[in-house]
This record gives sequence, structure tokens and C-alpha cells, in this order.
Amino acid sequence: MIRAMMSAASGMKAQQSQVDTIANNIANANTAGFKKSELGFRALLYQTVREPGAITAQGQRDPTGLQFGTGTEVSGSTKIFQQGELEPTPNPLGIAIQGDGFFQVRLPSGELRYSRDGGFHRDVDGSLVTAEGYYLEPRIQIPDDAVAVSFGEDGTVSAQLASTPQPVQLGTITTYRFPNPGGLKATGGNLYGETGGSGQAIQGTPGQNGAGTLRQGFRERSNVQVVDELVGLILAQRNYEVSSRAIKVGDEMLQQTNQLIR
Amino acid sequence: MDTGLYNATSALRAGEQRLESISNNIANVSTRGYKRELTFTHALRATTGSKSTHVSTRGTSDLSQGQLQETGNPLDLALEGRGWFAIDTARGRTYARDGSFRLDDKGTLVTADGQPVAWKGSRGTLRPAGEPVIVESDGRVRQGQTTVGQLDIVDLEDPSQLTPTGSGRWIAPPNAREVPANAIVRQGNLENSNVEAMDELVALITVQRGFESAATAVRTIEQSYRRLNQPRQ
Repeated sequence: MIRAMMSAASGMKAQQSQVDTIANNIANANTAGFKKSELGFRALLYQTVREPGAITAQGQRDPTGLQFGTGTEVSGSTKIFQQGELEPTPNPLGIAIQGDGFFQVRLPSGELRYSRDGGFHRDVDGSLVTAEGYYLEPRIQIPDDAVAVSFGEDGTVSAQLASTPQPVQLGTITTYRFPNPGGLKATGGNLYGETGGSGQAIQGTPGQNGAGTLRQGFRERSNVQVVDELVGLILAQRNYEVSSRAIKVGDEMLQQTNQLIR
Repeated sequence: MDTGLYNATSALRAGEQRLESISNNIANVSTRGYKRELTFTHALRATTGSKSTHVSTRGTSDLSQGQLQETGNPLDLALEGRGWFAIDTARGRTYARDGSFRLDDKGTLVTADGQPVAWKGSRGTLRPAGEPVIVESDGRVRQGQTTVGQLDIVDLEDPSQLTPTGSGRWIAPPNAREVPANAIVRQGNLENSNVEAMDELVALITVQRGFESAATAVRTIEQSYRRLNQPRQ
């Protein structure tokens, strides 16, 4: 009975983590470049009461045996890197990646991070930076007298200067891909860090070898579908209820056991 | 009367065991590839002519298909029909229905906990940053135009020999025979748990009521004993 109640309690805990994840997804339904998280569950170990295939008294094999599971646990959370919708942005330095890939940015501490949010700005020195002021890496420097900056689909950055009639090339934006993007560590602020699970970043040119292309004047919306999340929320709540019901039944059965002898 | 007491007690024990498996099913209602446990009780007649019908519990897994859910992730594979993904582990070959795979940094297809998926013949490797991976319904894997190999999707001659070991893995005894699977692979999908909360709730009620009846029987017998032991006036 106690084992049954512990199993059901593990189910309640799992559903609670599910609600936490869904709440965070919903909160970020309007965050540019946000990727939703998904929880995975796995069954806990089984306790074998009677081994299947054990030889019974008549010299025959027991076809089934008896095993009890001990509940569930959260196996991990995965970021789902599905493409978000692209929507026009008034920011001329806004770029979205259509397809696979991340921008690489450098934190003030020197560490590298990866992001899908391409809402870039110009800082006082003319460098291309994120909304937080982190440099896009490799760095792109925009001259002071640039009238217009354009980003090619393949990452080439060129500017129209007031002084010269011909556009000048400023550099190339490279994108980065990972063997297992689901293993990236979300560090907040729309940034992801490389981990042993994600593998090392692989530099690439947008549009080549299956890497996504760049779209200037667009931003990538969050890939959270609020309707899906709400359905998930309802399911989590109901499953929580069912688990609590199992605990209640276990409790009532124990109560009856206690009343066997008055 | 003794026999009656033992029979009723074994029914209480059976009720407790059924509750354990129902609780576990309910806890795993969101676990991918989980297969529901079924317990059934049957009467054991100890000796011929005896009135003792001790109740014994057996467990088995309901291997029916779980619902497929689309995820859009190309390395999420679901099986539709009878069959298993074979997974190589340090402890030998195991079987899984949960196909939420990923690539490790060497391009090997691995499970969520990092165990390599078995291929027919030599193990195929994929380029992590290459063209999209396409998995055909028979388990053949292509990357762009290049054929990489075929996943080893198998069935067992007698699937009831499989025992769950937790974490969505199953093991078979050494004498188990593998046969070709008739399952088809659905790329970009995952198989949900085949637990239906409604069925489990109904089972919960049945168990509780059965337990109640057995408890009443124990109490009744106990009262008869008490009356017997009372001194006559």
C-alpha cells in the first residue's frame, strides 16, 4: 500500500514539474527567438516479486511472473528548436535565421553564448550588439557615415556609405550549429551555452550544408503555441488529480485494514 | 473457518498488489513509450478436495499501441505496430519503444540517456551539421542523398518474455528469439503512454470495493470466533 502511495506521489510530483515548464513557456509566448521546453518522463525501477520464467512446482515455467513499478521521474527537459514564425520588424538591423543555426555572441566575461534572437543594434563604436549590448562574434563594425546596412541571405554584410557611391562589404555573419541542440543549456536572456550534451559548436555559412539563411528586417517569434500549452496544462492538472485519487484509495484501504480488528 | 480467514486475507493482499500496479500506471500516464501493467488474480487450489482457494497475483504488460504525438523533431521516431528499437547497452541488448533519439558529438544516434541505437549490420554515423536526416518507414536512414544504413527494428517471437527494467527499457531472456518486426517508423513523432486514466480510475474503484468486501469477510469471521470463545451462560 505504501509502495502504491509513493508511486502515485511520484506521479503528482512529475505533473507539478510539467506545470512549471508549461508556465514558463506561456510566459515567453511573446519573447523573440524563444524556444519552448518540453519535459520527458521515465518509469522508475521495477521490483520483481516473482521472476517471469521461474520454474513452478509442477516443473512448468511461470509465463508471467510479478513485477511492480515504483512510479515515474522527470528524465530531463529538452528545448524544442522548431522554427518560430518570422514577422517583420521595424529595426533595420533585425535579422532572423530561417532554418538551422545560432548567432554567436560574446559576454563581457569573454565567454561565448549562442542565440536565435537577431534583434541587433549599433553601439557607440559602431559594433553590432544584442539588445543587452553583447558583441556579435565575429564582430561587425559599421562605419559612422553608413546610410544603409544590408545583410545578405548568406551572411554577407554590406553598407552604403555617404562618401562612396559603391556599397562596401563589412564582413560576414557566420552561424553555428550543434550535433544535439536539445542539449544546449539555457542561461536566460535568450542565450544558450555549449555543454557536453550539445557537442561543440560547428561554424557554418548561412545557406550552406543545410544551415539556415538570414532574413533582414524580420524577427523570429517564440515557437510557443499557446493553445498547445493550455491543452498540456489541462492534461497535467487532470493527471495530477488522478494520482491524488490513487493516494486517497490507498489511504482508505489502509484505514479499513486498521479496522479489521476492533 | 480458518480456511475462510486465509482466503479473505489473500484477497486483501491481492487488492493491495493490484493497487500498486494501478498507482504505477497512473504515475506513468505521461511517460513516453510506457506500457501499462496488468495484474490479474487467479484462484490456486492447494490440494484437491480442499476448500482453500488462495488468490495469487500475476503481472503482465499490455503491449498495445500508444497514441502517436507529432513533435516535428527529425530524430524523434515512433513505432506503429508490433516491434521494438534495439538498444546496445553495457549490460547487453535491450529493447525500447521510446524513440526520442539524438546525436552525440561523434554523430552516433543515441537514446536520451546516451546509449547507442542498434543498426542492421555496421552502425551508421550521421553528420551533425549536415543535410536533414530522413528515416523511412522501414527504418532506412538517409542524410540528404546518402544512404546511411538501416535501424535494427525487431520483434520477439514471444513478446511476453520481455520484462521491464525501468527507464523505458525491456530485456529478454537469453533464449528469446528475435523475428522481423511489422512495425513502421514514423519520423517526427513519439509514442505516448498507453495508460488511459479512465480505465485506471475504474480499476481503482473495483479494487477498493473488492478490498472492502474482503475486509468485511475477515471481520465477520473474526466476530464468529469471538462469539465461539464467549463463555456460555
